Amino acid sequence: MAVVARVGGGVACVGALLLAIGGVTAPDRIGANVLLAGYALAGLGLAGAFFTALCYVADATWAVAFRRVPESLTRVLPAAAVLLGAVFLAYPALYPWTGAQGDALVGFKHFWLDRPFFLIRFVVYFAIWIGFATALVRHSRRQDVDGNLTWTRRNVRVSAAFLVVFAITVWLASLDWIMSLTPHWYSTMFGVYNFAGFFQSGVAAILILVIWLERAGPLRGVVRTEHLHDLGKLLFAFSTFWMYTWFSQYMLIWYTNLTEETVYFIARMQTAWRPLVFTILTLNWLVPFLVLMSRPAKRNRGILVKVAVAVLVGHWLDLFVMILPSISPEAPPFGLPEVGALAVAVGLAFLVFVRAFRQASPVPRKDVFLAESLHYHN
Amino acid sequence: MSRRVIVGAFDRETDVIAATQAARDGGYIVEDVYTPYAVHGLDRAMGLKPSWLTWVCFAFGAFGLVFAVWLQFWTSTVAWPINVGGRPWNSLPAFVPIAFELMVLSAGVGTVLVFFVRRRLRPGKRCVPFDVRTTNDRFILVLDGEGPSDLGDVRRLLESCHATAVDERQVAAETAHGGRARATGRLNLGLGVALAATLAGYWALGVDPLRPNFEFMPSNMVHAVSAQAFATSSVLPRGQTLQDPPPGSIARGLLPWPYAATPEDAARAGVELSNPFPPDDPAAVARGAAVYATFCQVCHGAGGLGDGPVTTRGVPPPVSLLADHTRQIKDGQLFHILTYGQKNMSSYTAQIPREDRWKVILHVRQLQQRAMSPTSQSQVQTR
Repeated sequence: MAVVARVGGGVACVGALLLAIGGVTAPDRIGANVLLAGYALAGLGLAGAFFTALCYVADATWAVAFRRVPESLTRVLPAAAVLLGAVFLAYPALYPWTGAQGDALVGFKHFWLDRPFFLIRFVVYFAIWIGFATALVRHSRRQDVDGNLTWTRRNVRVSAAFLVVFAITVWLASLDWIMSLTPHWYSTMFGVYNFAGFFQSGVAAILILVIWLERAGPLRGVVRTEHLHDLGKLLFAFSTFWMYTWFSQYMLIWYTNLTEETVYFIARMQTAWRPLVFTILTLNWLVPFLVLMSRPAKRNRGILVKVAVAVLVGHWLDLFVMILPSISPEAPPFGLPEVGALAVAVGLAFLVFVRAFRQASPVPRKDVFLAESLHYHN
Repeated sequence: MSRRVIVGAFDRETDVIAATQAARDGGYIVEDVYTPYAVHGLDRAMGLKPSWLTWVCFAFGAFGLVFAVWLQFWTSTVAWPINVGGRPWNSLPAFVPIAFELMVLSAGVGTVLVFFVRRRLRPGKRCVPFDVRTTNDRFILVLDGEGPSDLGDVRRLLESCHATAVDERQVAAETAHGGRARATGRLNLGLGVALAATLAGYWALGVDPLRPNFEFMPSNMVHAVSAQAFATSSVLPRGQTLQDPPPGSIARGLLPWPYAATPEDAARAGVELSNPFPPDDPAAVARGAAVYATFCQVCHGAGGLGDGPVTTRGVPPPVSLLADHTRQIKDGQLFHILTYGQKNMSSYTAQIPREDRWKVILHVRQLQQRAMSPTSQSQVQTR
């Protein structure tokens, strides 16, 4: 595991180096690619926090055995904050409304897309997310010491509050950071569409990490096929939910056919970006839907890992297609900045995750529901 | 005719799962397990094969999907095409929501119905519990009692799995399905007759699905009153049926031309407008040359010197297009001249369409350039 952390750190450093070189050869694409990496990591951390909170609120005891995995994922949030903060401070030109276009905005949009207010909101979102995630993780780890049920009760309350705040802040953050790249375009589905992608890819990441930790040792004998079966069900369900939100957004815009709404899809589906959109639909929905439909597939570690990897690749491309067309409208760019951003995100995710996971017992050993999680049947 | 079974009662679901597994491992035949609720993991302990209902569900889902897509395709493109916002009849994105809903409906209802038929469940069916203790949070394991010779072993095995009570019981050898089967048979016959009657009625009516339905309640929703465009209206603003277009709206295909026929606007057009066609577009240049030969050459001459055939028959010759003064007129201003005319030249808006006017300017520029190069200059002068 220490090796993986070191490799992760190395990959992140190589990625940073590639980004630095790319900064010389293709300076206009650096900001957008770092935004992509930061946003993907923020989504991963949020998915971890959401998963943990959801299990507490729903009294879902099955996931207790591997709860340290989503808990440790939340530690990615500060890294995401650093990347996103760097973009917002160093590349204001990424957002057209910071320049001359900003003056053309009127009314509430003019008030909302204002640079100081934008930066304040960025700080507020991350303060809320990191605050709640830290509280959840701290309470959970303290229970390892005294086995006190009050920690569980307290986390249920924290989770309930977090879920409400989460819904609002994730929606607003997706509007602020991604939708305002094309400030005149708007879609009321955008927030829930982004949330669906976050949670779907979060479940895929949890699946991969759980299977890896089972094989690597810390969770051996703890994780059972039943856990993976349930995670597989979640991945199957949320792949379909993601497709549902994607299509809801697409169909409303297609049906209404208003110029200010169709610009988003024209830029992505009537240009060289089109094959990428269909790749995303295949990887994020068609593959998990067809492969994970049967019960034996959801109980097969090899198949689960392959599908989860496909979903993570699809999610990265999905974010890529949300962000990059605003700087490279003609065709998808590929070069050092793109490889560098991916390396930074993957490397940082592994580095931070492994370090956080090793800080505490790999299993919440005194959680009152642990026995139930170890013995349930599907 | 009756036979012997062994009935074990358990207090906890983990115990009944363990006992079922142990009994099977010990070579006993598990007849059935009765529980107050669905117990996860029990099917595996009993050694049950996976249910084939999942395939029924899949088949019904696939049927619902295909049927919904076909139905929408057929109604909206073949039977009754309706123009919705100018979209193609066969617009797949519009079919998706209904295809999705019908797939879910068909899969859900179909699976439940097949389950009911297979389990012979129907409204009003009376179910007698095998053992009333299941209604009081007990789990009942039933083993075949004919096979094992020593019942003491069975008892010890079940008690080692925390059975609270073990006893023997005589049950009818065949479960009594007779009366129920007859009732179901009558029901099936009735349903079959109803289906046959429906199909026969449908065939007898000879409904043509491609024609509109019979109108049994004529109303003005079917026969809408249409308003005449230029008639007065009692409901619309200013009493007009046809409303004024919003300010700034442009008729289809019309490009605005905000220049008047004044020398000031001609100069302004020269500053503001530029030729939409590049000078190196061979198709545009060729078209310009053709237009020039048709409309301009009679006065301006083939080379643009102002020596066209009409000038020898009393029409005052125009200024040479190759003169320094003409050379300096910008494209936009030339376009203005072609549009409104100038001095003796009349407007050519009616004869030369907008795009051709720009193209002919390209040809004039080419004539001017050719005149500048030394070799062609001599040619022009000798002519």
